[in-house]
Amino acid sequence: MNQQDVLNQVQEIFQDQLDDESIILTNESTANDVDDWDSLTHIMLVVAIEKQFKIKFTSMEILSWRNVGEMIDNILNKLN
Amino acid sequence: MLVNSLNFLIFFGIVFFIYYIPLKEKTKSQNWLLFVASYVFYGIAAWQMIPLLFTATTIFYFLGFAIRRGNEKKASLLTTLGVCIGVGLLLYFKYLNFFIQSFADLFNTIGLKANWGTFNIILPLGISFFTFRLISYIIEVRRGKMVPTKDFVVFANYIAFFPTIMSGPIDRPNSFIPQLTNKRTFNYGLASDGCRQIIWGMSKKMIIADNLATIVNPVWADIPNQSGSTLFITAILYSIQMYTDFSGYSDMAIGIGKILGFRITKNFNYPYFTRNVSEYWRNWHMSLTSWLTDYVFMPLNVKFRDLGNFGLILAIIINMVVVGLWHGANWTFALFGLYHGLLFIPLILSGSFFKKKKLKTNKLGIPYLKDVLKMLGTFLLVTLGLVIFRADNIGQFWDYINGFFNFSNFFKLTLDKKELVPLALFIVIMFILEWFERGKEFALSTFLTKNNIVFRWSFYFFLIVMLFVMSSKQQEFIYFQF
Amino acid sequence: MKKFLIKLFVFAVLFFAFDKLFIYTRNILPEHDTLDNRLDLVFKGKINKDLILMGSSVGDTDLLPHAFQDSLNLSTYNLSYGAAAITYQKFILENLLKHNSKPKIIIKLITNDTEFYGSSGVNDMGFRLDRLYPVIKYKTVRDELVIREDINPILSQFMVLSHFKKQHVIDLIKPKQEHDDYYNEFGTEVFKDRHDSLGKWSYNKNPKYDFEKENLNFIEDFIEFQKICKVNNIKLIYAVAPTYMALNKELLQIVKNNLLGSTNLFVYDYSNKAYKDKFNFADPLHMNPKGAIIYTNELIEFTKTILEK
Repeated sequence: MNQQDVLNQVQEIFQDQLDDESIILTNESTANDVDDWDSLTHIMLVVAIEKQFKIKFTSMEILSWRNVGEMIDNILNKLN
Repeated sequence: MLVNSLNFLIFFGIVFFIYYIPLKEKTKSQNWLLFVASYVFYGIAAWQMIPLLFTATTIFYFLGFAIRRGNEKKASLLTTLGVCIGVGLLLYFKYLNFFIQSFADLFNTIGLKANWGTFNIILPLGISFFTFRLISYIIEVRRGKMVPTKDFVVFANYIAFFPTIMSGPIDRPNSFIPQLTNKRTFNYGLASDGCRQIIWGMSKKMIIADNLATIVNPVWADIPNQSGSTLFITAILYSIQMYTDFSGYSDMAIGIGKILGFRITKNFNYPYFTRNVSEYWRNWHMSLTSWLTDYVFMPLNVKFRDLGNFGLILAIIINMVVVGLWHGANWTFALFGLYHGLLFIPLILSGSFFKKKKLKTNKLGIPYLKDVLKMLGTFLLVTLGLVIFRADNIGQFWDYINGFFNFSNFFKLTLDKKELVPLALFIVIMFILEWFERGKEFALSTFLTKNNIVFRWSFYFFLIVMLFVMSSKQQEFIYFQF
Repeated sequence: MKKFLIKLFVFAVLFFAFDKLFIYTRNILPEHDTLDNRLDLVFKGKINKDLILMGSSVGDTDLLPHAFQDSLNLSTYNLSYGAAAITYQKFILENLLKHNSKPKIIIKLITNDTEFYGSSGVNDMGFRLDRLYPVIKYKTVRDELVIREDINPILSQFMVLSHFKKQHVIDLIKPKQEHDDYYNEFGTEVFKDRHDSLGKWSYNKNPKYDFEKENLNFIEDFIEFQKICKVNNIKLIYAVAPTYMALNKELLQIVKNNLLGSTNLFVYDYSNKAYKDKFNFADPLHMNPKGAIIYTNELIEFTKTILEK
């Protein structure tokens, strides 16, 4: 799986969880760019992502992401 | 030196002129000036605590580098150390304070007169605020969200910035430190906006809060002799006092920051127009709640993420108890936090915790009845919380509640109507202004700029005249004690 | 920056000018104080009387000025202030002497039991600040308010608005009520709802003096008050007023210890049963009009002997 595949899957999770088909993610997207993506929904998203990719993040990792790109890199790291 | 005193005006006037005239656009020198001014300001209030403030600042300045340079394990260890120092400082001083009080009480009961004056001086003013800034700094560095600053003066300014050291808002390093390193030129729009915000904050504090204090305090000093209706109205008045006192202070601090070219983080966003407790906490003392959200609630929530709603509730309750205890070592504060934590449970279970509905109004800008009822309900829940908060101990809280349920002469209102009526008028004016400006930063943000200069200045004249006439004995800000 | 400073400056100048419009309002304040304008009369020099009565609220309830005037043939005026301690009475005396012709004789009441009680903050010594606000147009009054830490020493110099107090403004706006107290032509406050309000108070046969409550500043001013009268050749009677309890002997001793030779001390006839009769009192501290006749007559007889000296 490459960067783009992961991004697409993550985007689907976002659309699904936040109930908003119009969400388009890029590597530079942050919580400020997406309505309803806040500290609460963030956890729901993380749980859904962990389930989807069958991985487990550490707390430190989750709290360090600055944008979607860093999260995707993190996912790719775990997968390989 | 209270920010709403003449002495402060003189102090600030001096800083202002040096800052913008001889030091114009000399960022480094301006920072030095702010550093000196901040320590002078703090020193006037509590010179004994300057070594503490300075030492803590120095330690955290170096910790920031060490965390950045160290490997994963070392960085983690140093961050833990830093958090421990910060929290330890807070606990030590807040509990020491508690011990002093207990000892003084003990002395008094055995007949020795404890000298309160000398005891009280050593309380480290603003400690809850500056330790939270220190902790925030190393955590942000640790999470890799910012590079530690090399400039010690910049860092010391971030910790001790005089408008905010006494009672916040608690700025984050990510947003504040860059402002210190960037060039600051005088910005006419920002500065006049700051002046407006200061006048508005002063009005809330001196016209409303200080006068409410003279009504609320005597009632609290003599609970057994009050009727139920008096206690009920006093509780509501205290909610308004708390809001106008603290948000008034925050407005003044933010306004002063604006004149110096800083954007200090927002602390209140019309909390009494919210429709549930979760919304309320997102709009009340926002710099504290967002701090705790990031550094307490989020890590807990991440840890408990596989427990579903139960994990979320647990994280929130812990978080709210911490919010309560932050105010001091007293069971009332813990109960206050627990109470608010429990209020979140129905919101989480019903799902309304996750929804953020925009407030809709009719054409005249008036909200719908359903929303008004929700706001009133939230306000009453918050008011009950503040009764716990205001009580000196749990026993006094029970006395208050029992007094309220004493129906024998419930409607005998013992408050001075002569005092109450003009105040009520100001409170209503304030809430109406705030309602129609609720999308803006503060109630005078745009309402005045839309009008011509004659109207604008007449309005300021009116407020300043009222500041003179209505101001009673100057009261310290409630949040100075935390 | 320039624009900002100019605007700020213009604003300040305009407000400074606007502030001066309130001089007029401030100066007509005493005329609007229909309740009690005695202090204004003192400053205007209109209290030119032979006999001045002073004290706290007992001076209003226990003394009948017209009786003094008629039987002593001395023009009489009452400058008692409810809840006022000696420090405030001294302030009144000083200004009375400064602006008016000197009285021949002053009778100052001493409240049995509580005369020297009071906390010692500058702002809280039975000093009737509320009475000073209506006459704040006088500089002496402002200086006193600065000493009492009630107005800002700097602001009050140049901002007229700082001379206004919420409490007083509210008092002026508020409509007069039917049951409000009023002052008669002798300057005595007449309490409308205090007559014979018989409560369940009991007679204290053996009152003790509480040294904890004593304010030493009051003792100092108590002596100072006598010195002022002596220097100005005014006869002074310190008259102990009865309360619904036995005479506090310890207080009397303190009074005697701090008495100058020039001062005449009057102690009511405490063997007289009238002073133990509940029906002569309005409440434990104050006599009613019936009791006031008894006390006033006794005091008039004493005053006659002093005048003959």
